[in-house]
This record gives sequence, C-alpha cells and structure tokens, in this order.
Amino acid sequence: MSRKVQSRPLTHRFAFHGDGASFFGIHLVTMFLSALTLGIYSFWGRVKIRRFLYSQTEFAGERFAYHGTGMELLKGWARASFLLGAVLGLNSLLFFLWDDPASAWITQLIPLALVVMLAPLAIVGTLRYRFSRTSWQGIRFSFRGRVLDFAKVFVPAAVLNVVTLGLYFPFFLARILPYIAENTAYGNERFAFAGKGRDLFSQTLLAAILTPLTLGLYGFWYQAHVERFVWDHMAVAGARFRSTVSGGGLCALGLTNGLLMIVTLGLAYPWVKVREARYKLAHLTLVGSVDWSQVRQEAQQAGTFGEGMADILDLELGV
Amino acid sequence: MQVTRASWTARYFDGQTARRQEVSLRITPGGLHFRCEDGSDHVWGFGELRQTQGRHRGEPIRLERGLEALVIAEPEFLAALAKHRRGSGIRGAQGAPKQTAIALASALGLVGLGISLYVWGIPTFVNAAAARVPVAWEDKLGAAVTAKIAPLETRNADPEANAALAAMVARLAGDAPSPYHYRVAIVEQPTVNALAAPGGHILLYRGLIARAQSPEELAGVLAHEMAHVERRHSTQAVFRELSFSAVLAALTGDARAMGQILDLAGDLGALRYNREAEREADRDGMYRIQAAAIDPRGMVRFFKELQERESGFLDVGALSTHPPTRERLAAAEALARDWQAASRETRPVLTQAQWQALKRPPTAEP
Repeated sequence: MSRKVQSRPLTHRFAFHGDGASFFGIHLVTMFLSALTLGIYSFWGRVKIRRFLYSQTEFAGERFAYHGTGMELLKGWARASFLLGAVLGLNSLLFFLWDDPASAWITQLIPLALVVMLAPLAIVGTLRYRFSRTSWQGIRFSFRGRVLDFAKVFVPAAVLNVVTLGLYFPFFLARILPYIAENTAYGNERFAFAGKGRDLFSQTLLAAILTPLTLGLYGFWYQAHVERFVWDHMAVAGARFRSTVSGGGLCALGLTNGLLMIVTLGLAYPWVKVREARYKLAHLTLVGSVDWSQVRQEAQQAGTFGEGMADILDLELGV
Repeated sequence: MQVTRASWTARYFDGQTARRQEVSLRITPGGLHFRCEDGSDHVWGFGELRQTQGRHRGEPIRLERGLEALVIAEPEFLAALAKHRRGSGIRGAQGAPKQTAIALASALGLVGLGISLYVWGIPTFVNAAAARVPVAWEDKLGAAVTAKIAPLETRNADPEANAALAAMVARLAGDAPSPYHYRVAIVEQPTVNALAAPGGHILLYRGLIARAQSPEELAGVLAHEMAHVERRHSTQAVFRELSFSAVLAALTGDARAMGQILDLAGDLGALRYNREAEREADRDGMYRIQAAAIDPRGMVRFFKELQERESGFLDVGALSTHPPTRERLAAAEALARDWQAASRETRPVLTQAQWQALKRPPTAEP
C-alpha cells in the first residue's frame, strides 16, 4: 500500500456536475436517431449517455472518462442475442419434436436454468467491460474476476437470499462484495471490502418489520444503511470510502423524484437521474492520503459479450 | 474578438501512472507543445489527438492521444485551437451551442415522426397485418379475449336461449360464404353493450337484451357486430395497441414496457374502434339485415332508444365511442326508407317462443 505514514488523512471528494437540461438533450437526440434507425443508433446513444455521466463525475478535482464505443456495444449485443436465440430456438424445436405433455416441463425449465446460469456470466462480463472502459487521471480501472469463480460465490448466496425472502441479504453482500472488490483494480491498486454480514443484519430485521408498517417509507432508511455499509467497508490504495447518505435525505430525494416523474409523466427522468447522482456523490468521500504517482497503468482487454448478455437479460447493474 | 494567448494551463496525464502534472501548453503550427515537470518536451500533432470531453457547459476540455490525456479548464481554448487548425481537423471536436440546436431539432423530429407514425404509419401497418392474419389465429385470440372479459360462469347456460340465439345468427349468416364460425354468448350483466372479439366471438350483455323490444332490434345489433368481425376491426385494434407499445418500447429502449403493455392488449380497452369502423359496421350490418329479409325498422327503433337514453344519461357504457347516435339514426332511417320504397318482403327473425326464451333472465329458469 502506498499510504505515507507521516501524512495526515486527506478527504477526497466526489461531485456530480451534470445538469438535467443537457442530459435531457442527449436523451432527445438518442431517441430520435434510434427511432430513425430502428434502434441501431441506441448503442451509440448509450455511449453518449455514459460519456456524459462519467465526464460530469468528479473525484478529487478530476473528471472520470468513458472509453467505450457504440460498435463494441452493438457487437456484444449481437453475439449474445445470437447465442441466446440459438439455444432458445433449439429448445422450442425440441418442444415441438418431443410433443409429450408429461416431459414438457423440461423444455420450460431450460430457459429458466439458462437465465440462472447466464446471470453470473452477464455480471462478470459487464464488470470487466465497464471497468476496462473507465479511467480517472489517465489510469484505467479493471475487473479480473472469472465467471466460474464468481458463480461459485454468487449462485448459492443468491439462492439463499431468495429462500430467506431477503433476510440473508446482508450476508449475500458480505459474500459477493469481497470477491468483486478484490478483483477490481484502479491501475495496479486492488479494491478491498471488509464488511461483515452481521453488521447489517439487525438493520435488515428492523426493516423487515418497519417497512410494511410505514407503508414502505422505512425502505429509504434501510437503503441508507445498505449504502453506508457498502461504502464504509470499501477501500482502495490504503484509503477508505465514506458515505454520509441519510435516510431522511434519500426519503426527501425519492419522494420528490417520484412526484416529478408522476407530474411530468416520466419526462423528468433525466432530471431525476441527475438529482440522484448529485445527492449520492455529494455524500461520498475517500479518506486517506494516496500517492497517485505510485498507481501504475495495468490496462486489460475485455469484450462486450457479457454486457450484451446483461442487456438482453435486462439486468440493471449499478456500475 | 481576437484570441491570441501565448500559453494555456493544462493538466497532463501520461497514461503510465495516475500522477497529475500541471503543464503550460502552446498552440504552434506543428501541433500542441508542452513541457513536463521533468523537463521533457512533448509535441502532439493535430492529426493525432481526439477531443473526448468539453461539449457541455462547465465540462473541461479533454484531449486524448492513445492513453495520454490533456485537460484544459478554459472553454476559450477550443476557439483558439480552431483558429490554428480549423477545428475540424480534430476528431470529435464540437462546441457547446451546437448541442442545444441538435437537441431542439431532435425534439421537433421526434414530434414529426410521432405524428406521421400515428396518422399513417401505424394504420397502414395495422391494416396490412390484420388482413394477413389467418382466421385460426384470430379465433384463438378472440377466444382468449372473451374468456378474459366474460368467464364461463358469467354466461347464460340456458339451452333454449342459446338455441334461439343460434337461430338468429344462422339467419343473419345466410348462405353468404364466410371464413368465420360465429360463437355468440349472452353475458348475465346489466350493461347495455355488445362486443365482437376477433375470429367470430361475440358477447351480448343482458342489459342490451332486456332493452330490446323485438327480435329485429337485437338482430340489428348482432348484424353490426358480425360486420366488425368480417372486417377484422377488433384484430386491427389489437394490432394497433401492440404497435403503439412496440414504438414506445423502441423509443425508450425499455423492453419491460413492452411486456406490460402486451398484457393490456387483451383488455377491453383494446377493443375500441374508430368512427369510420363504426360507420362501416352500421352499413354492412344494414345490408346483412336486408339480405336476411329482416325488417330494418328494428335497427332504427334501437338507435331511437339509444338516443333517448343518451339525452337522459351521459354514460352509455362502451357504446359512447360510437358515432353520435343522431347521425347513425339518420343513416339507418335513410336505408330503411330505400328498402321500404323497394317494398321487399320480410320474415320474422324468431318465433314468439324463441324470443321469450331469449328474454327470460336466468333467475326465472325452472
């Protein structure tokens, strides 16, 4: 670790500078050109949107940069849909040839099993691609996790989470986040996650009781707990993240955003996204002294297959 | 305004480490010239660099060359750069004002695209698609729709009433060749309504039957619904609903919206026709009645009833999407007059016993 023993801890701030009007403009252009090109432009539009979001995000006085291209996204999507299409096509062919009601459940189970098996692939692929196309101060991020290793961690944890109706969620996070963090790097500096599931468990129990009683309002407070749990245990290059997101803040943000969406019939979406990013990043810091000249470039190759798969499976990853 | 600055302050990232270096940048005819803290000189030819940021208000200008990057905070730098190298030589170079113009043009384009889709794109597609759908497919769709709107337990199961209804349908169908096999059900609900689902599935509501004073009136309504089936109006309505949601999903790029609206397609809301379709069904229905030698004054009487009802209540159920009753009444009266002028023969639609069976509410069953 490159922390200098003598220097006192510094607080590096995050900030989001984007304004809703510019973001709305980008959405308008994307929608128009996507409609004209029967959706093909949407991959390039997505790049424009990401580029805007990244370049409006500042950390320690410098903006992030996004390096992906529309063609990459299109190719990833095409490859993933070709594979999925082939498998599902074969499956329905089987369904017709078999034509035996007793064993029909097998052909219905295959797509479901496919989604369960492909989710780790899509998540790992998305992380690999997304991080490899992100840079700050000229240094790329990377994710070096492997699908099989991740699946071994993810699948049992996800199943337990579903079986326990979400009560396992803190332990789910405490199992998958160390794997993700340890395989994520900024240049040659790996991230680390040291949270324990039990630190969040009492809050989860409380939320399970209070959320229905408060008509869902307590969900904002629980969300704040989760957010702080995730960030406060995350570290990189000897410095630790710190989130000061509060339940009251998230509640005010969530309710006003919901109202904005309803009143404008969804047109306020870009403003809502901007408000969310502004709030969350204004409450995020990295505490600790880091000698940036010690962080070396370690770029990594990554394809878009997983990203395309995530797109088709409709996975929303908060990356 | 003359932009002549000797040098610009920039931050340089060498792409090897995350170190930030403050450099003094000069624009020379040969390219961008700057010196690093270690004293090394760098020249970036205009053709090698690419602008990736600085398109939006407040966003610093970012120039990249491979893994290296230069970040300049002052927006005036772009103008100075353009002066030296005509700007266009740099890949991706673009200022902020153009963005607003492009966004505005896109908004206008979207509105234009939306209107043209709504006015002719979707109707053209819908009519073409609905005309090519096999009857078997329509039949499946219609069965699913009517099963959802009126489950079996809400339907009249009295064999006499259903036999009477079948006789009326057979009379109206006549000898004319039709790909459709009609299945008409009586729904035991007080609504004054009738509807035609794709493929020949028709629902007549008790409220409507109770209101009809003669079998000829009911035959008029049934002939109208059969015309909807023959002209595939409800199949078109389902396609219309689907294409709207498909366009919406394509615009928002959200595949989930599609699934949600697909469910909607099976609902009653999808079975709405425009006024032109209603006029067609009125006209075809009237011809059908004449072809079956049924007294067309029944239909006229029914429209009169409707008009009286409309003057008293605002709510006429699903019939409110129909053209103004006065207009339909006038059209029906004109047709009836022509027909009377030709003094054609008529035969009753149902026997008195059949009509009584049809009118009898299910509670009165033995």
